[in-house]
Amino acid sequence: MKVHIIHLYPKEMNIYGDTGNRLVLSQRLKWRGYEPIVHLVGLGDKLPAETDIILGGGGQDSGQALVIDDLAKRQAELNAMADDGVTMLMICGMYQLFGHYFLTQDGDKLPGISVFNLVTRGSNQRLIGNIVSETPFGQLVGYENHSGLTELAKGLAALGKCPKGQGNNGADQNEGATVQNVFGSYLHGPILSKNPHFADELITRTIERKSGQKVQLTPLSDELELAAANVAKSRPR
Amino acid sequence: MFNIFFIWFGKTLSWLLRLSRHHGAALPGLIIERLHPKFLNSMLTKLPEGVIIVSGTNGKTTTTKMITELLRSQGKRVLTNRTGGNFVRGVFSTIVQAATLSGRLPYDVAVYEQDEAYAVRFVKLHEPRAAVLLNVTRDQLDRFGEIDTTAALLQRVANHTSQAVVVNDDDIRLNKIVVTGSVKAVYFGVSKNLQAQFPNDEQLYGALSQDLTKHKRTVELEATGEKLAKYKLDAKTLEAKLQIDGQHNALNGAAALATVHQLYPDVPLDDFVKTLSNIKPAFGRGERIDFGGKTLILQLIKNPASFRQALHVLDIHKPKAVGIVINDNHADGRDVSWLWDIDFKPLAGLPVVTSGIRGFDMANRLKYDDVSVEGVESDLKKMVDEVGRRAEPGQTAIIFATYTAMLATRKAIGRLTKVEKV
Repeated sequence: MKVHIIHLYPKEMNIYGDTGNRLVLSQRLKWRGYEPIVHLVGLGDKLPAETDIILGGGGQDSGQALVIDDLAKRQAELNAMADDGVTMLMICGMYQLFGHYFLTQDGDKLPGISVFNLVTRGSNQRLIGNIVSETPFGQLVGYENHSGLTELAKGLAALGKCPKGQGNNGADQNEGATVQNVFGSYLHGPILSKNPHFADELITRTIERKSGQKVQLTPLSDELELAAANVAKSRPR
Repeated sequence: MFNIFFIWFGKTLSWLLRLSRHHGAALPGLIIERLHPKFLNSMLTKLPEGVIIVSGTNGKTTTTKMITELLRSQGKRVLTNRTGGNFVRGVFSTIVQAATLSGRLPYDVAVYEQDEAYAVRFVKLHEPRAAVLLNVTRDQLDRFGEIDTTAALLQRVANHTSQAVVVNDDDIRLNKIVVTGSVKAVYFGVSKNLQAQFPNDEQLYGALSQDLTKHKRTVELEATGEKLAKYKLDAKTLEAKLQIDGQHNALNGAAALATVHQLYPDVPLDDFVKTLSNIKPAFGRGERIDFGGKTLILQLIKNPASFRQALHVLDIHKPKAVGIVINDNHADGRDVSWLWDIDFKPLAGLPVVTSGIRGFDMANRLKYDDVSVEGVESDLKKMVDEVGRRAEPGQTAIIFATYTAMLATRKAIGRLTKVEKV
């Protein structure tokens, strides 16, 4: 089975290794006999006719400024896909732009595309460090690095819970957000590299939506992934 | 007078620390920096030919070594921080060690490497005569946040430099650095035909090559080959046979030549280029260590750009085994996400052993590039042994390591064979 993975703005939004999520999904699909097909979609590029997974990564402030106009043009299309159950994983800068807006510290308002009912405000503190978040899919281990503070509107589920001083805004212990099959998170690492159960959750949902049937993925040996996650958990923030 | 007190204090403290077998370098500098920060300026202004600061993400130690040795070859007495200690306190310590008991500083000129954050602190304490700005790429983003922030730091370094700012003209961020007043901007770079081999941070992620306003360059790297570098200086083309591998080091050579030519225009360029050919790698930066007739190369890697450049040397040395040691201490950068920004397929087929605090992260990373890992070995001495024994006499093995991992690995190698003291 072909699985089409779309990487949005790989040239502009690619900091902190988030490109690795694309590699992790591709390989874990391939190791199970699926055929991943990666599409790089940049400014002005059309989305391919078939879209199963959409990935977005962190970027610099300047990268976000470069993509907002193009992203605005895709607002209706991406919202329709989200409603339709397409799997999406948005990290850091792209997570912020999947909300209503990002109000920068200088007072600029970068409009987002409102897939998530949330807003982000720039701050003069930076939340940086190793982070462990507890989610319904198990523990997620990663590294956060952001100055935007994100607040979820009532009714929007966080992806996970984390200690105070970390996560979306450092105050409410929320980390990330999720609606339908769309996931937003501040976790780099990249997030899927040390959390194979979460990578497989995305794959399961994608294959089930495509095939219309329940799927039991072939188990893989995840020793290295879990050993790396264990070390990360033991490190100072 | 005040200075002499601190020199005596520092020297005594270093001596006591050494006596008690503590590593004595940093503490005296740290204390003097706290108690008497003006010490730095009042001592360094005594140098008749001033201070040169080398900063940027990659190549600081090597370029500092190059400039230092180029100047020494002209009979200059050069004060430097050769161990790659990037902290301002390290500079305080070198001054204490170098000063005479009567408070004199018997040197002509100082060459100091400082990372981007410490360089800003340094220039606020003492305005250097020249600043050499090599490049900014993604590195230690847990400290600096963004690459644009790093570039802004170097602009502040340029603002506090008195005579010349030497800039990599091919770096899209540094190329925009502004100098004012009588300060001269001096540019180095690579010729157009080499451009593709020196991608900048944006190009590595697929951005089209940007059209930069190029400046008139003092030195341009025209061609590189195995250990060969051709430089265009003024109107001449000069050839150096470098002992330091990698074309990025040939470009560091261009930075060093541009700097010394700007500050010492009367010295014939041929002399400088000849000296450049004799310079050996700085410790842990492609350093070659004899390992029972085999060659062990110890290569510092710090970020995607430097790791990628380092992987290029695989073609030259054809190693029989590879070790990779990844730490996540403060000096390495706590975040190891950057390992996913590098293509490790060049390692396919080679026996690889990983180690360090994040040895499992590295092994996991390689797994996703279909590079099989022999093992994760937490004991560095065993790792060195395991990598080394796979090479026959006359053959080569390479160990890549992050900063604190490199220091630890070098120590481990020192327990198995002789390494130069630094």
